[in-house]
Amino acid sequence: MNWIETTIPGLNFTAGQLVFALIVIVAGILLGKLAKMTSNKILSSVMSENASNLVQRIIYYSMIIVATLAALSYLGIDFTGALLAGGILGIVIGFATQSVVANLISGIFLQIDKPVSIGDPIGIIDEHLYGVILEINILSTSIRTFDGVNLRIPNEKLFTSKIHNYSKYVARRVVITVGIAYKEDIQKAKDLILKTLNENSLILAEPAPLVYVDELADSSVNFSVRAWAPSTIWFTVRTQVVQQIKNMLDEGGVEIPFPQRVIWQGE
Amino acid sequence: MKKKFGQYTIKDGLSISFKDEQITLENISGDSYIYRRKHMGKTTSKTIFSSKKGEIKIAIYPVRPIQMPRQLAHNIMIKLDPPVALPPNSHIIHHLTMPIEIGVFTISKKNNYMVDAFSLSFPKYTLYGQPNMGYICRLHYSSISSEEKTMQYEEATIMMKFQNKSPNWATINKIVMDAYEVDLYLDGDAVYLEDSNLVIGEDDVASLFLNNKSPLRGLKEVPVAAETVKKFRRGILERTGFGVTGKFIMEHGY
Repeated sequence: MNWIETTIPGLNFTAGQLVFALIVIVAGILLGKLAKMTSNKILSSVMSENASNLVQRIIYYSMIIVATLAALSYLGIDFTGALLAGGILGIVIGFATQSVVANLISGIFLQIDKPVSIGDPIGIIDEHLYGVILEINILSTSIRTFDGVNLRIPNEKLFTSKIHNYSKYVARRVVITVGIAYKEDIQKAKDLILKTLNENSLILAEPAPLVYVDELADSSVNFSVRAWAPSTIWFTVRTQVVQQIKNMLDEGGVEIPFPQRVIWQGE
Repeated sequence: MKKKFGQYTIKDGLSISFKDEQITLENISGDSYIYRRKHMGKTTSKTIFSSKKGEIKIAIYPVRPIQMPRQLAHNIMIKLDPPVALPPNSHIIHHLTMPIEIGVFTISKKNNYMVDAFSLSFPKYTLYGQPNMGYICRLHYSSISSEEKTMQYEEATIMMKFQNKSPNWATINKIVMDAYEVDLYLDGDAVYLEDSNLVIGEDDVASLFLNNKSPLRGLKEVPVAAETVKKFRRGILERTGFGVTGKFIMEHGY
């Protein structure tokens, strides 16, 4: 009798079947390695190294598990009990790790969708958090807030939040309200403000700055001043331009009034 | 007038002026010198370096206008005043101007280092395209003429060949170029942009070509390697990438 057809004592399969099952497992390992290498090439360009490594591992071990189960099934091993126990265990683990899995999935989607990148200044509006992205990990993201605190935020929270990315576009608008006294010449004040904006080299010539009377308020005629600046220096421009407008209006003799109220006294 | 662009031996009391900017070198001890640039009497830049046995020199040359007032953009937009209208299937050569800055380098046999850069003109920036997908550009207004008309030490001459291959009239209001691709040439202190041409294609899209050669015979390329300028800004400004070297497609119109 050929050794291939010899039944292994105490087991219900032959040596040939065992060899074939082992070949299936080895093939599964080799295929897993191949899939890991292929996915590395594809994923490294679309996600971070950490996320890419994790996905590669998931692919690799999934293929080994599938190959092993197929091999054992070929040998006639009954998995009904194991699957039942595994299913119950899976439900328990699923409940226990719900938030971890949610963060993991969100982390992968953050890498693919890329609403933010490392170095981006962002604002998480609902949480009133503002800072610069330091690191995007698979479960959480690190942010350096503008007041110098390191903040770790779970990926699920970041992914589902309303995010303002302040560096996504090359230019950003500066909006300022400037009030002048009712007695002042509106055109003169407008010209002075526009002159200030044109003399600031960091204010973009195009889109052209816009100054218009926005409101006839209680104590002042309010201008809305709108000018564009490169996003990278928006804050610098914002801080410069208010002071420059104030100085220019002072030099031009245009009054910026205090709140005032006219009181009529009866006889 | 004495030529100012060039190389200078480092020595105590060296002084070079460009309009309101005055560059001075002072020996502070042994081989150490202090570089100062004064504007209207106020020191705006100061660097200390040492030169053992005169192994390094100071060089002053025109550089691409991307350093001042800070490194915001590497693109230049030249607004033409008046615009140039080109009939279909025609070409013409005009003289334009572009801004330059002045770079101060220490140079040695091994490598060069940019000590300072400054601009004699008022820099202004603009946006080419839309805020979500445009480019920040250094803005410059230029008139069109048949002869060279430049502000010395502030501008370079461009001898631009405009070519309209389209079956339609084309009105060119602006020219946008990537300053990283720009090479400058010298004739004494007169500065020229490399040979360049703007082509309106049959599809009405404008492409600017920088041809990597002198626009006139006998001009010398600015000798301090462009690499020095690149090193100076590397790590601060990321290239957004305009694609093909020497060619810029003006995708947001002309």
